[in-house]
Amino acid sequence: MFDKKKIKDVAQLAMIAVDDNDLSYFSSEILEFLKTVEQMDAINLSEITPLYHAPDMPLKGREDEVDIDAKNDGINCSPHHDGKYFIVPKVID
Amino acid sequence: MDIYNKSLAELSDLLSKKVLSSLEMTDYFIKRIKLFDLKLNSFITINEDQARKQAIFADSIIANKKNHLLTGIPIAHKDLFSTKGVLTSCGSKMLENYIPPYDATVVSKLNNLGMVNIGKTNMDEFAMGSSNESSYFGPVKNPWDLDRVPGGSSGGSASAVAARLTPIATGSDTGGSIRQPASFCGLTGLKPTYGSVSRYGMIAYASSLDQGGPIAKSAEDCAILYNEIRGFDKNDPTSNHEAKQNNIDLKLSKDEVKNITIGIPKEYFSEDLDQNISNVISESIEVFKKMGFNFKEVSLPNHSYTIPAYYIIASAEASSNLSRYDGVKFGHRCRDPKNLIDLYSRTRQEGFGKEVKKRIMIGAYALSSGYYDEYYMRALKIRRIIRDDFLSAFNDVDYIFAPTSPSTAFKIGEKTSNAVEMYLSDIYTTPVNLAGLPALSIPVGYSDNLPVGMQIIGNDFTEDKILEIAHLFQKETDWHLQVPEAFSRE
Amino acid sequence: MSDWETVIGLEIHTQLLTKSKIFSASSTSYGSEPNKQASYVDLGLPGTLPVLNKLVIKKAIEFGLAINANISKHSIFARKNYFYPDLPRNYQISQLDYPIVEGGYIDIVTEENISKRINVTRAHLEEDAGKSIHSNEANCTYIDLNRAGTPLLEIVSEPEMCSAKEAVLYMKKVHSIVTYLKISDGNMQEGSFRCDANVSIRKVGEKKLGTRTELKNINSFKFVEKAINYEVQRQIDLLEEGKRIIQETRLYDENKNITKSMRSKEEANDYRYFPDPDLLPIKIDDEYILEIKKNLPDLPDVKEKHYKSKYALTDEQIKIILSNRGLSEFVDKVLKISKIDAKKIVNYFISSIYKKMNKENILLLEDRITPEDFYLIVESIETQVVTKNNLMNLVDEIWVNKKSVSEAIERFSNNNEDDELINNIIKDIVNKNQKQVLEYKSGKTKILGFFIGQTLKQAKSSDPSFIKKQVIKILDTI
Repeated sequence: MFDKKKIKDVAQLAMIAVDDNDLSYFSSEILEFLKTVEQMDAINLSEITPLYHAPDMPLKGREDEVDIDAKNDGINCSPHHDGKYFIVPKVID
Repeated sequence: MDIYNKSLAELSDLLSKKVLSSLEMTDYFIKRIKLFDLKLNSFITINEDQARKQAIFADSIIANKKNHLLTGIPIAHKDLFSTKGVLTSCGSKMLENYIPPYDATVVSKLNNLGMVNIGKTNMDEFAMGSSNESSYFGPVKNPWDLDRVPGGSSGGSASAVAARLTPIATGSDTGGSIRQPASFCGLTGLKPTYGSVSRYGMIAYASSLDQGGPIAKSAEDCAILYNEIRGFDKNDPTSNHEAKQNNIDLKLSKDEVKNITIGIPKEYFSEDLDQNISNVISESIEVFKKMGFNFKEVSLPNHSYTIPAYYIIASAEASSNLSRYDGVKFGHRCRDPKNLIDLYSRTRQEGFGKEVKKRIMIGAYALSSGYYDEYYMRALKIRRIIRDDFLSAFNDVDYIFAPTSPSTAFKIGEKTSNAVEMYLSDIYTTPVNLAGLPALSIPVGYSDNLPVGMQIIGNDFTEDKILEIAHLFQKETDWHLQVPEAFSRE
Repeated sequence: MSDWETVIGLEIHTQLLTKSKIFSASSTSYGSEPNKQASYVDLGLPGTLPVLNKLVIKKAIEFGLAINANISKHSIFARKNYFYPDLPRNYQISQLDYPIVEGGYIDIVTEENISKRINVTRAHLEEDAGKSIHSNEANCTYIDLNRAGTPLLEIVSEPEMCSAKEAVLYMKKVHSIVTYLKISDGNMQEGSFRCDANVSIRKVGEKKLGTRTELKNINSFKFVEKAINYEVQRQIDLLEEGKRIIQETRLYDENKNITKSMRSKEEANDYRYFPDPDLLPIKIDDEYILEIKKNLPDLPDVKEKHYKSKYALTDEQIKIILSNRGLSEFVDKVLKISKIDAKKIVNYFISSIYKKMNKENILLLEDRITPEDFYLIVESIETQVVTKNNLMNLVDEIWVNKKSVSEAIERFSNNNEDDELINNIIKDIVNKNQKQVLEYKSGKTKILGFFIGQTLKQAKSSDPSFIKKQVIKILDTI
């Protein structure tokens, strides 16, 4: 049952703050969407295996080598850092 | 001279013969963008300074006669391709100030050939959309009718190429985002076989579906660009070793044509399809028949389950891919967060638009405990039967023709209040993404003065032949040469 | 006597010994400047993708084979979704269904000398998170992502341990396996080997498991024992007071020797695991597994039994040889070709090569001295071609001066010139010490020591047993 409580739970999982207007909007939109999804129930899929990737290919890894050219200046993209660390509000463990 | 309408080969010729320098050509197109783009809003960033530098460098390569066909020619990149030092926003407030420190593989391959990155094009936010109306930077207009959408999510790229503001552009296709805008704008757009084009540096929407590809004025131009962007990339773990590296030569002989059979899926041409579109496509099939192609009816029986399966899978993957946008390492950050949860949840509330939030929530729901089997697993199983349907049809025929979209370009605002109707407009494009197959959309005529597109769908890694077939058709017809009137001047 | 019994399961996270991370080519070395070993892929910058380090598969398989587990031919990486600042993408790439190793067991020997088998549920691959440093003064948390992406093997045991001591024995056994096989460096101070303990109690005879608590991130054997003991008593006390045990995560405070409740990291426990769409399934074929199995050395306890039964080596000797895989492999080769008593030759080894390695803090390199060469050196001493106190000289001649065995033996062998010299010295001593000669002649054989000692004073590097021979020879001619 996709109601306002459910939307609140889902928004929490998705880590998105929602106000009451949002809750109404999203719950009705998602409910509409889920109605179309019900079509999937019409077909018997018990004998079918899920397909994760197409076309199929094996995972190819890389050798255990350090890339000395890899840049480590990504911290500069951060909206809040001191050049050494990323900074977030204090986390209480 | 109508430079704006020249093909890639013609532009290359002009550069080689020194009729024009790359710098002059670049300035020409930038001037055009500045003149016309206010009407279209197809560009988020005009990359003037860097483009001119690239053009000057390209000119030096051309002077030394060490140039490739593409050297010195401008290109626009969809704003989800990371461009080093140049804003890459993905059409979102979340990344409105994000400057990537590296280039996407597609971008660096083309930069290395001396192409000139003229600007970053507008798009539906995080590639989620079919009309380019969800962009934080405003909707894009269709050059054929400014009250209508150009399609999405690569609406900016399509609009820019259709209005001849750039000779060619890159786009991405997850559920039709190259093909549908190409069809709405009278262009040729290719979605390659999954794994052919590196996703490294492409801001991810749905990892198992996303593919980058060209949006161009012709199959020939598509082929020229596609040659250079496809191939295995060690930085992309889903990149396929079998992705070809050879150059596409676009030569299809009459003998070969005689042996090609095209399938027409009966489920696609039912009463649900707009009659005008159906007629336009039928007429173009006649042209193919006259060229010597054989036709046969095929069936794709599980076609109707595509939309829910696509949206569940794409949303599930997106919900996880977009978790990284949290205000800590890059992108938007809310002011004065009280604590960690506040930082995350308010940053994401502010940074994402409605459609993106909705799909993230759908995805989180579909993966959540208790619903995983009912939604996500079922969708993956439907994916299997959709692909099996195509593979089964390919036992009988070599390629499949299909409409690209059930309609021509609709009016701005027409479908925004009905998301499901918007989703249903992807009915012909999404099965191809689920199956991982290649497909090209080509313009085949008009309905009420708006372009109509048709898809050529092939088996894995048959892009070469698909482009050849399209090229042959474009030698016999001139739909692809039409320019929207408002933009057919210098 | 307690009518409570304890049930313990351990989850061990061990960092795999690779140069680069599991999904990026960043270095895994410890102690770098903050965020200087965090590449764009580690940070999860938009558009970056994880590329698997093949070596982690090999190491996981090695572990699985060592514990007689089943290796999955088809293994899948899954995303564990939750939000936390030390997790760059806000999901961890781990494994849920289809882990790379399933089943297996670890045998421990308790204090009462009873052998007990602890079954392993599974072992799977995952990436480590970064580090958070909380600051009260600045009222913020600092995040260092150097560690993010380091490869981990998570080893989960069945809840089959009954006491803190058993848990420690199990943990030590796992530690010795992973370090001996070079799967991990097992460095607990640097966090390469961490343990979470799931602890519950129940009445003796009760089949149902009690509510368990999870003690997190303990990184020493001593603290694992203390933490578990404290927790068991805490739970007993609670239940005996009629209170309930809350299922929760607890941290061990080593200063106060208590466990305390930890506020949950993740707000929701729904991790929404699903197969990572960026990573295709790992397909492992039988040939690959066999190849690894072939090259897998025997584990320490197998070797210990072997050394005792076949060679009668002492505990002390075995401990030294097994302290490092390179040593034991060298000694094995020597023992294989040796006609000399095993105990003896191992002692030679310990007093020469092992001593040198310790003193100079070096690794044994077989391209410096081969097992064959070492055997020949010992043989030359046993046959008195070279005197015993030249053992180290011989080793150095080969190792440091890079001479061949025959050259080394030649240099230090007892030759006629030396014989002459020694004989003259002995004769001289004999002449000057008639009293002692008479004592010898009257049957006091012990007086030989006097002659040997006197000779050695003048011929310091000579072989005492050779001298003894010559002394007897000379005295007998008188």
